[in-house]
Amino acid sequence: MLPALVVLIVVLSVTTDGLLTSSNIVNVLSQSTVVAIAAIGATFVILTGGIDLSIGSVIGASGVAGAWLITSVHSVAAGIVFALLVGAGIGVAVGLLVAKLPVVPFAVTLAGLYVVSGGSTLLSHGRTIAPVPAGFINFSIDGPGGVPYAVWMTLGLYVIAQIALTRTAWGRRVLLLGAKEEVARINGVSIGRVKTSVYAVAGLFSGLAGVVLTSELAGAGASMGSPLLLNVVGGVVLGGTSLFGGRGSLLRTAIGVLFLGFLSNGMSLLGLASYDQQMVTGALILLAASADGLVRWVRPRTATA
Amino acid sequence: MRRYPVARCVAVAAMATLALAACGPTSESGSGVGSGKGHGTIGVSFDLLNAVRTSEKSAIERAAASAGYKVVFDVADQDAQKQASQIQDLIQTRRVDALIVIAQDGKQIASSISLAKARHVPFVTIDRAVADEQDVSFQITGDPHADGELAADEFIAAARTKPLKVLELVGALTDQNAIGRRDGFGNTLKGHADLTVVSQVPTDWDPSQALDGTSNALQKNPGINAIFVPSDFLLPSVQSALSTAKRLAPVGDTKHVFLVTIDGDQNGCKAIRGKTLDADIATRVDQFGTEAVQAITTTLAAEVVVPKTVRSAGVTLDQANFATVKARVWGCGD
Amino acid sequence: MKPATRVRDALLAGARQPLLLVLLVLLLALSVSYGDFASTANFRNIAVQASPLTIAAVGATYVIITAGIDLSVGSMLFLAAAIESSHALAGVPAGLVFLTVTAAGVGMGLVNGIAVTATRVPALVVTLATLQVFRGAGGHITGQQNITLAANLRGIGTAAALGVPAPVWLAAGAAVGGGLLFSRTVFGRYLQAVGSHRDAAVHAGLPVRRVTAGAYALAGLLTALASLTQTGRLGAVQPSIGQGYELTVVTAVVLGGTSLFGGRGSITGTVLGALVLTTAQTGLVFSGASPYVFDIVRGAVLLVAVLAAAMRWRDLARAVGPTVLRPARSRSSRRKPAKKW
Repeated sequence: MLPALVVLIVVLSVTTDGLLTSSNIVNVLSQSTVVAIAAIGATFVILTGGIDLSIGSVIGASGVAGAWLITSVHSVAAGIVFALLVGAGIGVAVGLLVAKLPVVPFAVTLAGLYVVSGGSTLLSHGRTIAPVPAGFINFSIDGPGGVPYAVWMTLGLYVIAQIALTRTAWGRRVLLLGAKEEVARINGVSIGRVKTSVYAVAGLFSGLAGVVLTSELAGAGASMGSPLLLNVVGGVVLGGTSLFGGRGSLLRTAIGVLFLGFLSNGMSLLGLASYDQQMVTGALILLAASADGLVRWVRPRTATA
Repeated sequence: MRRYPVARCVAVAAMATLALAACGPTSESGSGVGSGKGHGTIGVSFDLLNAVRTSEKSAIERAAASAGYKVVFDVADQDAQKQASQIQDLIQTRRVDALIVIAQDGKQIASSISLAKARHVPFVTIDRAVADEQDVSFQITGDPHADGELAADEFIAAARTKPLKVLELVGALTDQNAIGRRDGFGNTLKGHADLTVVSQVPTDWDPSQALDGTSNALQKNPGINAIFVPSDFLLPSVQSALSTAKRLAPVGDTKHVFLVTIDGDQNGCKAIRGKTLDADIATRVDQFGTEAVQAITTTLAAEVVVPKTVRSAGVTLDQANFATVKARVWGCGD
Repeated sequence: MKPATRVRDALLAGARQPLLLVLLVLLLALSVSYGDFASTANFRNIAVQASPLTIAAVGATYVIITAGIDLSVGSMLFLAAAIESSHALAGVPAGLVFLTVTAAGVGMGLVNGIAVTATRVPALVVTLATLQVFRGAGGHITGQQNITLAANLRGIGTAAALGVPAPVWLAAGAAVGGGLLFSRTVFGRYLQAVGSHRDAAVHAGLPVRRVTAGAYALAGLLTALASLTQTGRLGAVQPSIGQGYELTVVTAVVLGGTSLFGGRGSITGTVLGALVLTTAQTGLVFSGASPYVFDIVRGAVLLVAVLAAAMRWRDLARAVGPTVLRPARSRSSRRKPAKKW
């Protein structure tokens, strides 16, 4: 997927003005942080062969929870902790349901999406909770070298998550579970516990994404996360992490998320109509995801011919 | 996924080049970056694109063209984060000289407003009110409360001839415009004995819910003889429900259900002309465009930002004044 | 198991739907709680309101039975409506417009179907991508405007015959036709074979790809029909049409007991699922509850329904795997020789 990202950037930098200026690159990075953070959790879930459709609603719910505490007790730290707890708590609940019940993750997390988004809209009366302190907002604006703290934090999280995936026993279990569930079971891996853990991790990262989004937007609303689900899943899949589980990495996810970030930025710089942007994005996701499948499909025929 | 990076790469490159090449001409008009002042560029960011927004867009474009500005245009598809990103791109990468924004969320637009302030880019908001009114250069919005009152006045006038049992549709309960229209309408109706709101139907601004809700309400209260529709785009749903319930009749017919809407778009104007709608409270979309561009010119020239908020109440277009008022209603143009 | 036996089982599973009981209890409870709920006209309203969902959900049932998923339903609904109201078809006789739109629906379904069968990309990703493509295309055609529909195109949503509204006729037709296609035809048997034992189906020489693509094409056709019905009822096309509809459709299908693992499902169940969802929504309107409560209720009902279904079919050992996302395992075996070249 890296070559595709390079090609995209080259094409866009030729066709638009200002794509490769340092300020624009920082903008794309900071615009991608929320999706990138949520995509870490989604990558772990997808590596086990699962899917989490509740990510967008959890981002909204935890953002609202955090902003509510920040504005009511005036403690940013308490608000952040609460948001993360809400995210992780929902994640654990979803994970337990996925692990314990003989129901596909798709259905469990679809139900989770409805309950969480309906619940958070109801509890917040559909209102946006604002304002939050300037220091908290600065987290996603200022930072060393002109790059926001949020971006540095995201980079750090990717390094940690990649190490957790490849260098820890838990990471190996996640990969093994996704690749060959039976083998994992025979090797004594507690399937239920690993499954619960990945959804819990996804919830935690969604919670963090909710916090960063609240900082970015200077306030939180229950529906703010729902448009992000497409980009989160799209970024992971575009990066090349297999939806069948067992194959993928955080590096790939990072590339996929950046691809979508640059694409959206570039199309906006080009002045494409919003509906045309949708068409191009969808077509590129499909094309990028299917390119090698198409080649395999065509090759045997040409080879035998 | 790993096996044919070259193929994937070529395919994506081909696709991307095609897509971008196809859009070449648009990019020409959009790349007025850094052109001199006086003929600056206005960046426009809308929350979404629909019939009302299209009219607002062309009003801005007309006003900008006559004042000598270029316009670059973004739509956020109802995604607050996307809007923040697009405004950041407009300010920092496309270096627009001023912004006209319809906020997806009146509070969450705060970050964009402070970014613009820090970069000394005039920030004008239209249509939907924002929370930090003092930090924007200029704001012109409709006055949903007043529009609701104007609509109520039509009902009060109609109730002089016969008592009205009103069905009230409500927009999204999370939308301040919907709430303003509801409150303005409800407060004005209070104390009029010959007017009773027998049913309130939440629609979440969804035509299907408006249709189903109206059908259910007509079913529950067959005595309903007036409906308040808080936006023109829900009118087809309401008329469809009326027609299914065999209650659709032209203005003047004894079976006619009294209908008032807000917005004043093409369909609303056509419906009044066709005598299927009694009154439409038309928002001043043209005024949004001209005053927003005017404010930008003033702000850019004076360099002193004087925050100002204008609330512009709508104009009532009804069967009696159609001929004289239609020229001021945006939906009756072209 | 002989196909005939499996068909009978599927029918029995449909007849044994606990959902029928749920629907009856729901109707009874609402009738008792709200005096004006139990009237012919209100039941007629519910039936009309459930019709487009029923039609689209019957189509989605075929896709889900093949262990696939179609997230592009809402966008197809919008694109079909956009085509129906486009300038190019202005003044064209209604019949021809309907034909064009249904053909376009088949075309959209085929795009999904071919992309799913010709590539290794899971249906979830394919249809997530086409969700954007179709909605973007619809926006391109309409320019995001509200377009009032010509009067002759509205009849399909508002007319009535023999006292029964046209949408209900269409939904009934889709349900009965869809049910017969599923239980009485070779295609229906193949669908179940492909969904439950793809490898075996391939080895048995069944046209697995064509059957799968056919399921998506049928879903496209029925979605176009649902779109014609719904826009006919609404009398206008708006850019927000169909947003989030895919989740409602999947919920109706899953509620009806069709397994997301594929292979098992029932059209009767889907119809009941659509009716339960619509009745619940109408009931909430009657109760005056906040519209957001509906989301919570829908989520809870979905989870309980899926759970109930899974409990009954627990003997399926596969019930713990993420099979919904798995493509044809057979294809890898078929492709293996190719790698050597």
